[in-house]
Amino acid sequence: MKKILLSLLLLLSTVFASQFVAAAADLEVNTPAISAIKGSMQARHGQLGAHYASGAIGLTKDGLIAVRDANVVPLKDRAALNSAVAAENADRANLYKEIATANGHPEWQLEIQSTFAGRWIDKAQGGWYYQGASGWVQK
Amino acid sequence: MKNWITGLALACALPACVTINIYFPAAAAEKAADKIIDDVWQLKNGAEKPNVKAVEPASAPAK
Amino acid sequence: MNYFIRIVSFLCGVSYSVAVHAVSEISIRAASITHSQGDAQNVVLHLNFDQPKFNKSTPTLTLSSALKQKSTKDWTQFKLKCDLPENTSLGEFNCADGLLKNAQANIPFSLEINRLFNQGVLDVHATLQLRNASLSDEAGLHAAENLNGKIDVSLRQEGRAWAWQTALDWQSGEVFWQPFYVANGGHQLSASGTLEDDLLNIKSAHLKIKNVGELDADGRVRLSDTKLMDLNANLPSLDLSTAYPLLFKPFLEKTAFNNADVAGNAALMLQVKNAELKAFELRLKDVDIADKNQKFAFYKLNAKLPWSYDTPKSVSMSYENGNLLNLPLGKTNIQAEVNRFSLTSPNIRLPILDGALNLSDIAAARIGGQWYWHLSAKLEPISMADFSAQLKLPRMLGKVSAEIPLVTYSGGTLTTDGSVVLNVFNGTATVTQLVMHSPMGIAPKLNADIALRNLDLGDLTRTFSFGAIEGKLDGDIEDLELQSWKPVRFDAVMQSSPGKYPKKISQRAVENISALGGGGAAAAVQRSFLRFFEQFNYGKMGLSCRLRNDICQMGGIESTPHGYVIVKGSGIPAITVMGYNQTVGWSELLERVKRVTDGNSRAIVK
Repeated sequence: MKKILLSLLLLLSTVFASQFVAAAADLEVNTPAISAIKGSMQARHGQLGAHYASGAIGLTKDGLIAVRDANVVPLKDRAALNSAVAAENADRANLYKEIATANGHPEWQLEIQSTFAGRWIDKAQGGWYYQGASGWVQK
Repeated sequence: MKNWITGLALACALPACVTINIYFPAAAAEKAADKIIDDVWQLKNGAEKPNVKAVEPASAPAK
Repeated sequence: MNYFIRIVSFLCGVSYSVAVHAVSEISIRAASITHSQGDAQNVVLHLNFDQPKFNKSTPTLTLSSALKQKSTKDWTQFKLKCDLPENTSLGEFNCADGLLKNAQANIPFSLEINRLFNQGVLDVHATLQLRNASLSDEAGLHAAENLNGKIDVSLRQEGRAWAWQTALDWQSGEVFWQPFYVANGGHQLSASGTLEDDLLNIKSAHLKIKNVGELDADGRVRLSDTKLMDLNANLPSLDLSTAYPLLFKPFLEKTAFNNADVAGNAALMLQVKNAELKAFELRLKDVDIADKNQKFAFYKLNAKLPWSYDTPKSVSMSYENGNLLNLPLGKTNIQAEVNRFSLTSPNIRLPILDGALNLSDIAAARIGGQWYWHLSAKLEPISMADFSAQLKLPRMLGKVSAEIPLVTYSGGTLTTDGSVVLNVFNGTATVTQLVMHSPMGIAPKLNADIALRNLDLGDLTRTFSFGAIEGKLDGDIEDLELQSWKPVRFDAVMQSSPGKYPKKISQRAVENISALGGGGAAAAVQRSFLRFFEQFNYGKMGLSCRLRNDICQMGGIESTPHGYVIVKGSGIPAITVMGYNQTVGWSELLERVKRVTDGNSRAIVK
């Protein structure tokens, strides 16, 4: 009896293991929704790129962006900077959600977001700012 | 027979049993994130050279 | 002992030079003064009684110091130089040279004090002139640059209260005060009222914003937390082309109206009581509003939108024309009842193209910052010819009509209970289980089931420039999901409708169907004797596709060991088209369809 129980348990683990193997395959990121969001972010990067470089904005530790120091931006452009940051963050939140749902696991959203948070910072250009454990850090 | 199954299961499943985060495919997520970030920031082949000003002629659309 | 002053070290030096008659200079210096609210350093007060430059010697007072609030780290330099009146009891000071400076602010100013006392009572009248002042908070979200302005203040003690009066003339300079941005000066404010304890009473205020409009207001502000307690505001005429970017856009960032061109005139009345919005009335006059991304536009919009916390109000709105997601909208009148946070209307008719959308039993409510509404909808027939032209689809004939007993919208999702019936291609397309997520958002999503019945294949193939096929088609597209209006998932089965009717397929159609399976197959027809026939009879045709992850799992009307039957021949000459690819990339399939239809339409043009 004990032996049966053990093998049953192990059999169960194989099921989990095979799921693990299946999940290790690529994530689906080519849905039209993801492409649309990506396109919108790509277009906006033309505007945001200079702001990353100047330190006006930085990458937050939760995979979003934030205004760090608007003083380097002329007054007349600060409202546009704020709306670009808000729009970017709306897109990013939407992106994380779409990736999670496109892969049939809406509950992954937060983990995807934190994965992205690390990757954005890793891939950021030297001189850009990101949020470290205790405030802004220049890369 | 039972031993055979047990052995096989033991061989391939044991490490999975102790994996804490069995469901979330962290490596695949990183790969997916890299792909998207490369597209959004227009980093070519993951090179650390983002096209900040977006003045460069648009490269062939991804995919 | 709230204002306890502790002098850490106080060095006082009175240096004087004895002239013939009097002391000519006095200097008082303090190295450091601390106070419960702030510190001062290097305080120098310098009085000079003798100024040989002038015939009439005018005494001058110079004060300089470094100041710091307890909560901050940076020191602020303060400097002021004043001419003192001969008779100090008049209280006339003219301080031409003042400066307030620290890391975040540089405020040069001059101060003119015309009166300090009147009959022994404090009765100040002073004018402050800013000269190219600039300031900014650390994040740069509240900042001003090159600010020039004149502030005129009168303050008189009346018992326990103070009566005040001010005139503010913003001459030039730009200000960003999140979320507002004002590019230049030319604005004036005049106001008067009283100040009692911590309550600022504004008896009347008049604000003139250049090129935008004028505001009349009265109210009360609690100063301790700058809370607006009461307010009556009236903006009788606002030019929306300038008022929209300045006043409205900052509040509409998270709505669909954040990226629009707006022109026209508006009037606004606003009432706040005990820090709660009590009532407002917004009137729009001949307003044109057009989304920059072409999602919507309304022209000649006139509206009277009253709202009151206490009493229900009737709102009315009309527009001459407009468009929504590329569909033109005709002249529309909307009447509704608004009761606090809910809105109801028995009927709204929205003319669209040659038909109309009739909405009835409308009820909407705003709960926790989100809109919820439900209504029933009936679409009066719209011709598909216009509809397809507007959406840049191939020209289709027929009519579309719909009847949806219940449409609900909650938290960005639109759900329908009922069916949209499109009478197209002499048959019907019935859409049920229609659900839309964020239809105006960046990645709209749509889910639906579609049933097609008795579509005329002749019309269909002509419309899409596919080789001619005669017959009728039934189809069931289940579990359809569109993202950004592109299909990402469905289970579709299409096949010949049951019943007796002529079934013929042209050679070109056969070639095209074959081409969908990838080249090669078409050539087989060409090589065989079949090329001599213009058209063939068929018994049944059908194709199914189960779309998942951009891959279409294909099938036909029958399965064979190696493939499936797409067209089954009948009579003489008969032709059977087989498919062998069980899976086809969806994007690849669309490419092939496009190539086929493009190729054919070109051939027709030639």
